[in-house]
Amino acid sequence: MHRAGQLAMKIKPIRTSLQILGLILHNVGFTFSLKTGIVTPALYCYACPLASFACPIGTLQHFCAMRTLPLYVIGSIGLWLTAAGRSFCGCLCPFGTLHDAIGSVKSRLGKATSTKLNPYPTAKFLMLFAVLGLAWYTLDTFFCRFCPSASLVASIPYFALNPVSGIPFYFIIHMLTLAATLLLAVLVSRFWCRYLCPMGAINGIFNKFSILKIARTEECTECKKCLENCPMGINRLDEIGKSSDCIKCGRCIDSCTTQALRFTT
Amino acid sequence: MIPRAHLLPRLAKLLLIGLFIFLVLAGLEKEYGVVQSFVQFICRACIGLDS
Repeated sequence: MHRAGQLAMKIKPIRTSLQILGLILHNVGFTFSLKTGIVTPALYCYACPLASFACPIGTLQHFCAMRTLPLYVIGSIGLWLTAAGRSFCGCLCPFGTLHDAIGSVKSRLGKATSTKLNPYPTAKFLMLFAVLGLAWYTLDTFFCRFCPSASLVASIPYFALNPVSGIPFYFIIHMLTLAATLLLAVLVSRFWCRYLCPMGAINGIFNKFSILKIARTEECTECKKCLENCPMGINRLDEIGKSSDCIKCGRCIDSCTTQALRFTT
Repeated sequence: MIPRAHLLPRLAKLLLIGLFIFLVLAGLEKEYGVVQSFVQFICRACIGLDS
């Protein structure tokens, strides 16, 4: 078998295993003591009945509202991201896994999700600025009231477990943002991660200097098959692994026929 | 032997890791419990169950 073929067999199963592991690890908060104060660089609502880790965006909002510099939170996020950059979006984030699952179902139905929409890195940084700015201004975790991750893993389970009389206004808002996010994910591959995720913005900052990198060797023939398969719509070869949009999912490595791309440190 | 051009970025990363470890240790005692309380106690308003 061709060596590149062997590599293509390798990365996808590893990534899928890591995504399943990420999903399990984020949901082992069965008891009070299993609900830890560990912060992981993934957008997963800590109000989920089984959440075991803290959502960094919710936590940062809390500290913004408290007007305190969160040394432990910044240090934790920094450590994770210096090690692996935005690969957490591609391999660990449960909300990213949901987006991948939507893309996978769609491709099995024979309708490939569009990956062609141009990246617009500024959008997610504006979102991050707005999220933290609003928390600072309103003294509230304002973004949590709209967050589609919270809608899916916290609002729906709690509403099902503890029905309240009538439907509260913010529950309707939650359902609308979730529906819009899922619809956009069906139309465009990883739409939320590309343009709106505030956690993706923080993770993306670390991409350029993280220890885990994607290297392109001289064997590259610039056939651009890697770019055709990029779920984040990266459209330049020199941006693979370096752009704030690259989630280091390894699809480019899998699709390379000359084995010119590889993970490196 | 590692060339100087490769050595400097590696050293910078090492320093960055050191800085983040320092930040974690500096804030751990004061903040860990606060962060854990966010996971343990649910804000019903945030998830849209209370107005």
